[in-house]
Amino acid sequence: MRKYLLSLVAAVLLVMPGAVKAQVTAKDVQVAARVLTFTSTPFSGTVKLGIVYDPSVAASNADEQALTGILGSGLAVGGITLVPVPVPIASISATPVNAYFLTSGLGAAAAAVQAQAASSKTICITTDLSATKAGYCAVSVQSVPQVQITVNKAAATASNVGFASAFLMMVTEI
Amino acid sequence: MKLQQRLGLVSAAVLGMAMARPVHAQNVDYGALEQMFGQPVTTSATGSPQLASQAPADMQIITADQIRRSGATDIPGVLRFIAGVDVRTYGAMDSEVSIGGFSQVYNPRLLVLINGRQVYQDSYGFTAWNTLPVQLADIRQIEVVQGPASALFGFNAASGVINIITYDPLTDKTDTLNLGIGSDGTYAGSLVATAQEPGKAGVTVQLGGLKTNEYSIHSLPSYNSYETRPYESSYAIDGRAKPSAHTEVSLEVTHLDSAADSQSIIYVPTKYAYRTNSYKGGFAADTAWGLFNIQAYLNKDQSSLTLPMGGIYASPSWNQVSVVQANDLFKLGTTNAVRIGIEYRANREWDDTAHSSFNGSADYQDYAMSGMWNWQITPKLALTNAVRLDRLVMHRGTPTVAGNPYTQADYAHTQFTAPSFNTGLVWQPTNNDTLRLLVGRGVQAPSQVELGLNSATPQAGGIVLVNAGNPYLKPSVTMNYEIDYDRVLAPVESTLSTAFFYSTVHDLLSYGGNLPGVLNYPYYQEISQNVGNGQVFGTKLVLTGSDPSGLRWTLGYTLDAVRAHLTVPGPPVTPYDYNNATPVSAVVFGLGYTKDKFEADLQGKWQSRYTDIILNVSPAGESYAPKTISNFVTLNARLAYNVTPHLVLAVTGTQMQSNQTIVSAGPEVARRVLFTGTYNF
Repeated sequence: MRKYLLSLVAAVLLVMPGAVKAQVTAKDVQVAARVLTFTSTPFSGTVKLGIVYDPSVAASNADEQALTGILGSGLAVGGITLVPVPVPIASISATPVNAYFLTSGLGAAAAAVQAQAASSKTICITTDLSATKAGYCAVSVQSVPQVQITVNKAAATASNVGFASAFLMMVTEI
Repeated sequence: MKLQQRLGLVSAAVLGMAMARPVHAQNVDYGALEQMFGQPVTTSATGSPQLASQAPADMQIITADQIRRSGATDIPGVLRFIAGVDVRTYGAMDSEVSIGGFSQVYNPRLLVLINGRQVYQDSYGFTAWNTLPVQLADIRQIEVVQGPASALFGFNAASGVINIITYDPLTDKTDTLNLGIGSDGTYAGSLVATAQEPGKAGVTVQLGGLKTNEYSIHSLPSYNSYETRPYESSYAIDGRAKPSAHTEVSLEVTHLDSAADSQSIIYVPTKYAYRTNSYKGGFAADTAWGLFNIQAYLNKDQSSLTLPMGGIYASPSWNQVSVVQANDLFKLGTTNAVRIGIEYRANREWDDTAHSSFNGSADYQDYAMSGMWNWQITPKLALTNAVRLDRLVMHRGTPTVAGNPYTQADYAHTQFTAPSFNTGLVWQPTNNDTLRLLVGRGVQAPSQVELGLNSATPQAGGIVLVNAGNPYLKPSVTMNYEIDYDRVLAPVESTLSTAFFYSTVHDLLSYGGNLPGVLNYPYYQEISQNVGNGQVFGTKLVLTGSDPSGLRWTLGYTLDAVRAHLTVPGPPVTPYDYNNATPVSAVVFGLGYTKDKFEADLQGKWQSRYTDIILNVSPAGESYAPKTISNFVTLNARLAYNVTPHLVLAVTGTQMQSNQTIVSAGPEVARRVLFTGTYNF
């Protein structure tokens, strides 16, 4: 019976809006990289992008693999080059990076990412809008069907991350 | 003699600049934002950067690719195939551009800017399109706003705005040499070069020129002679630097010389020479209080009329405009964006020739304050309100001429306050649908000539012709009500844009020389007046699209139905026949294809008939003669081949459908071919 209940819960989660998240795409990464150039202190040169994931969560794992594949040994976008650094969420505090990319599917566990981002004053970007809405990550990017960027003002402020005024005029702040 | 006097007055046409309008949004990296969002970004709707698709305005953006593929050698040539834009050719290097009906020569209702600096000329209230000191290769995009936008741009954005945005030397590196040779003795060339430390400092130098034969002039009045080899040459230097991550300074210098035949304000073709100079400086800072901009510029321009039959040779006049603008754009909370701005502007026009139009100078100052509030009510619904208040004060430093019904004191009392506003509700219920409800109030200020002309010319029989501005003119006000609906049609990889608008225009303005005079012996007085009201109903349907195979297409239809109610008679007494002056229907179409190294484009436009006007001069007197222009087609084609990644060879044919086409009361337009080589280094 328990087995069936778990299956039912899983099925419900799958049909819930936002419960199913497509893997990170190259276009998502392009948008995320551009976001980094609109911070108050714009990034330039090589940026170590910490890909925060949980090896035990399938969606997170898939995102991590997709991201490392897209970034390869380094992806140049505009004036910056993103270099992937896989960061298991359990060891996030032990891995210094310039920016975090939060994979999807971590749920409430992602609170640890925001805590680390706040303590290390590091920007966090994700494609998981629910994580940004929950305040676990400062910025959410979406590139399909059209580009939408959401900034959690409280989370950004806690991480000491600011943005150019022109950028803020064009995004959704919550 | 009257004609000579009128043309003498025309010779006073000066190149005015800048009314109160928003500072060009420095610190807005158009390129990076466009790459991030995947579509053009504009500041021409609200003064705040936003996606063109979400702007609360009826706006079309012409991209650099579209400009290049048009094969055009000037901006009217690019605008000709934009739905809703009426481009009328009066010479090889002279065009009139109108939006939203009431097409006329010296169109005063369309404001034109380059990077926020006005190139509209306040003297007679028009844009001399052959005096824009910008090379097409340096243009990032041309923003075409249809409908009043005075709340953002100030006076004269009564029916629309064309804002030309060039590349940013801080972030864009543009290095292009373009050389062209064509039929009818056409030579064209431009060089755009950028030196930069990306993101820190950059300077772009652009220079170029165009020389060609005038179209056949056999159809033009024989009472004049014309410039057979019109030309223009210009340069511009645009330097920008970022002293810190949050501040930016800019400096721009431009210069232009040109000589061409133009249809003058009195509907007589004339030969003009222009020399324009501008100097602009700006400072922008991204602060905790928002994006702050201050900009100042000076336009100093000279125009000279040559009219052999009138005994006028290089009769110069001058205009100088000084502008200081400041604004701050900031967010309140997470859903409200606010912009506040102030502006001061001083405008002076003078001449010192035997055919003096002002006998002294006519000056005015404009003081303006403006505000904009954008409220993102929900993620899919936004409301934008913009308001602006202009206060214009005029004065003249010398007494008026004998016979002028107004005194110096009358001019000292010329002042008016003009409010304008724009309200726009934008609803995007789905990712594919956008609905806009727009209401706007635009203001057209009387030109300096209409306000401050002051001339007296002796005539035969002891009569003195007095041509005077009217210090008691009211500004013309346009109210526009519009519904726009855009839909992305994914199955056919297209976007359908529709617009339906109704406009009313109150207190249309007329230069006194175009109106019947009053004999108050010995003076025959021609005084500028408000001449009535009008209304326009219009619609626009445009389908644009492209597919991955390299095919692209455009099909558009526009309707402009104008009804004017004038207090003065029409032709032959005055040149005003607004009901028939704008083609009621127009269809634009375009088809392009890119394959490997080849690029081919075909652009066309059909427009219904309209009535143009030309001044007839005979021993019996002068009269404004209507000339019916039958419906006609314009067909341009361009074929390009990328020889190397850096070198492109192209051939462009214009007016391909016929050897000669009658498009206006000006000369018949000839088919022409231009070969160009472009080297991107």
